[in-house]
Amino acid sequence: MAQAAVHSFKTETLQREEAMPWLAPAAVLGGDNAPAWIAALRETGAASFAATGLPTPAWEGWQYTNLRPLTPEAFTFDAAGDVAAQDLPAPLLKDSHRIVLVNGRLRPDLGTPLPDGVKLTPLMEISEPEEELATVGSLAQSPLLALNCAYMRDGFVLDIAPHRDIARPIEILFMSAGNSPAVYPRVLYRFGENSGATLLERHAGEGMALTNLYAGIVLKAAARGRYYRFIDENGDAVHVSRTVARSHKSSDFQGFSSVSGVAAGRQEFGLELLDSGISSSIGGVYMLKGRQSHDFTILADHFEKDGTSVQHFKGVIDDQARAVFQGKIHVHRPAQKTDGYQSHHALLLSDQAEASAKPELEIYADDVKCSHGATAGMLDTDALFYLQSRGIPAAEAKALLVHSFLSETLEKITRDDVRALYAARIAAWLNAPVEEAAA
Amino acid sequence: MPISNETRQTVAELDRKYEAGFITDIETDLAPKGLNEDIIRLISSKKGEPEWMLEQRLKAYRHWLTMPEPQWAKLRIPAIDYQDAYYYAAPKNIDRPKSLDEVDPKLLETYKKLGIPLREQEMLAGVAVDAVFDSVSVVTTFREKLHSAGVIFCSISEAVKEYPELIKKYMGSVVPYTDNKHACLNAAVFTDGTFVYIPEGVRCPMELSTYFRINEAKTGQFERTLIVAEKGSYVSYLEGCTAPKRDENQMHAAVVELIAMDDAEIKYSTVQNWYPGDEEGRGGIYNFVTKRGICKGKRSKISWTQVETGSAITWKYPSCILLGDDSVGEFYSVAITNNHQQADTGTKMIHIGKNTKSRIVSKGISAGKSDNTYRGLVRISGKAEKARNYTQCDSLLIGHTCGAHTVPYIENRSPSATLEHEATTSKVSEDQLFYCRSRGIPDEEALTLIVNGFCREVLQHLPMEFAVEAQKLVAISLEGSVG
Repeated sequence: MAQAAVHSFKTETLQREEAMPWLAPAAVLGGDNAPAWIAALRETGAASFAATGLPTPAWEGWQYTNLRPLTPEAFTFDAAGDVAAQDLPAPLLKDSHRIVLVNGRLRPDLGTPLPDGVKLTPLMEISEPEEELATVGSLAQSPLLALNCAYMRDGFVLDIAPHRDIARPIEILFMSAGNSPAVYPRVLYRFGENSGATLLERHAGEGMALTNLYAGIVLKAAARGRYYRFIDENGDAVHVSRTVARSHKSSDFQGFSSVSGVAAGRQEFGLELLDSGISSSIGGVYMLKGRQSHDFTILADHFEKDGTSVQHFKGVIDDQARAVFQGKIHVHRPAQKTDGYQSHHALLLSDQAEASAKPELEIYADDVKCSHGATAGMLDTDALFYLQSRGIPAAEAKALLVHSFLSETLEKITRDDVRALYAARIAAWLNAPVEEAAA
Repeated sequence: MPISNETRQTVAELDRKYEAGFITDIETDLAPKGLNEDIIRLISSKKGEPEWMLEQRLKAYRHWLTMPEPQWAKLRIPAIDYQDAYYYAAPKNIDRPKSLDEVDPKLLETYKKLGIPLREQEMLAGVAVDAVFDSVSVVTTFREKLHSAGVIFCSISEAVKEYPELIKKYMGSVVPYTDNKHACLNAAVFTDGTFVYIPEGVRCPMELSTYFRINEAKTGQFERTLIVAEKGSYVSYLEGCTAPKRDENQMHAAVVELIAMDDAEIKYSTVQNWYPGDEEGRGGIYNFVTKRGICKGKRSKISWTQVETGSAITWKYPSCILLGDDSVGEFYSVAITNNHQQADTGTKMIHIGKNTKSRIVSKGISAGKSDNTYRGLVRISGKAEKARNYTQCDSLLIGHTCGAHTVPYIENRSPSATLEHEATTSKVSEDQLFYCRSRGIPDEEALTLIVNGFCREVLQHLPMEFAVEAQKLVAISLEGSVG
């Protein structure tokens, strides 16, 4: 708390200097004839970032995640690098459609055709953007988003036509390749009125990479959107993203994310319940070890009445890893009869692991039900002892307990096959420590 | 909406009363307005302080000039003109009275209106009061009885002169002057306060109490409280605050430091009823208080209980540093805001020792156009094996123009620690009100009943004398808020 007090202005000029190396590589975008709105956003983003630089732990909301070790020199914007079709990871689900991006660039040659009712438009081909694409909110508060704007080029808009139910899931695969690429993709998933679809957004790749993603999700009236993210990158990658789900009347949104591989990460989710009768939920699991750090920062914004929002997160932290959860439910004055639920539970497996949580409520309406719960602790030694007394080796017993602890978050996922994908990631992570213990 | 328009109208006609909102007409010794090194020298010389104290004040003042205003709280604080206030005000014509009979009768009248029956108390075996009128401790009762038990209970300015070693050792050891801007200002200009020292193994024979009161217009009150409980001792300390009704804002930047050694226990209870401003949000006290206790010894315990009903702005986080193994920190709070009041209050529990335990129970009640925030930190260091924390924050909203917020910060570096946090937000339900109404209980009374029930968990931790007053305050604070 006290450390947040020093919103120091005297270092501002210093930060500005620090900001420049982050912005310099954007110069290569200079002659690319981007549509006017993109050029304008780049400029706004760059100006805003130059003034703020990266957020420091002195910023409210950034106390627990320190970006200072991140250096611009470590990454290359517009890095060369490619992936051959046979080297792509197998599709998450057998019967899914696929969109592939390599280092942020759309690669239709690697993807599959999209079904009727689904339209993919590369960002750079849009000359007259809708409002939801061209507005970004306050950049001064979000330097990473400002940086994403400054590099705006890669990305697309995916439209699900109104009144269409897309049966097979669509996998969006972000691959990183080559020498430490820095990618700044920007995507918009738009669910038309009364449409429904399942999106599987997957981030994969080997070696060092920086992903700074902005994903907008729009759910028109009565739309049903399922958005499942898999961060499958390996140990050197840095993933920062902001995802904003803007829900309109009576729509239903369900999002989930899992992370285990990245060196450092921060996923921000915004749930905006713009009209009445909306249900919007976000959940996630994290599994961290070594010196990994990850931060889930969530804001559920209730603007109108009869909305329900759920935030449900769990994670395990081993070795010297650090986990952060910051969740907030903001109920605006007109949002009567709101149900807001938020929970975060962390399991610390080692003496040096660290969990920080800031579960916040900000409420301006009187007829609401909001609650949050947060716990942090270690494995129940009694349960461990019980399992061991039944002849289960300690390491296995531990894995069993962690698995059941984490799996609980998956229960709300409506598709069995997606639930199995997450369960497999939990199992894979748990196997690693078991092997180590055996060796 | 839970309450009908009709009720709302009835209630709007009720004028909110602030019963302590009178001004006592007493000649006051005022230092010139403004803040500079000369004023600090003046304060120091008026109080006849030794040189080392003045030096500490000046050091704090110079540091204060470089400090930024804390910005992180969820408060709208108008820019404060530190030069437009008096930093020293003392009632004239009193040379430390020996007994109550020598005290200005007008002063006694004031306290009577406030409901501290000094005279009666002297008779009844009860509460010893160190009454602070503006900046000078006017009278201290029960001095002798406490003295025979070995307890030191005196004003801080006396302590500076009489117990310089204790003051040098402990003052600023829990809240250093570099802590935050408000605490730093206090370190520079504090004018009075209370010093309590409980020697080893002594159980303080009575509840100690200080009543603070800001009287003079445009005076800031900067009192400083220091309580040291030696090994195996126990003390319960009560603090109450009121201020007269004035249009301009007054600032109150106090510092409270508690130190508990092995097996010692300090119980600190506050009923804060500073003037909250009128219905339009004019006037009222800015209550910027730094309260912190350190459980230095093993098995020591510090318990904060607060009932916050007044002040235009409350910025206050009574905290515990749990350094000794097996030490315990507790925080029980009821914060009520109405009209345009703003409160950002909570606690910090810093677990360092093994097996340390903390418990936080916070009840926030917002009505009118007020904003009420719970902000709390629970930090478990890597060494705090098997530390435990339990936090419960409940908010109650009355009406749809107020806000209730919960901002907990939870940091855990110890795997064997157990942390639990729960929070709920609800309203006074139509069912509850209807039930009371059907039993013939009027709305206002029903509301008080329900709110008192909501706060019970905290109120029951108050000493008897305060519990009754606190319940009454709950009723007064919520007057005019039904609807």
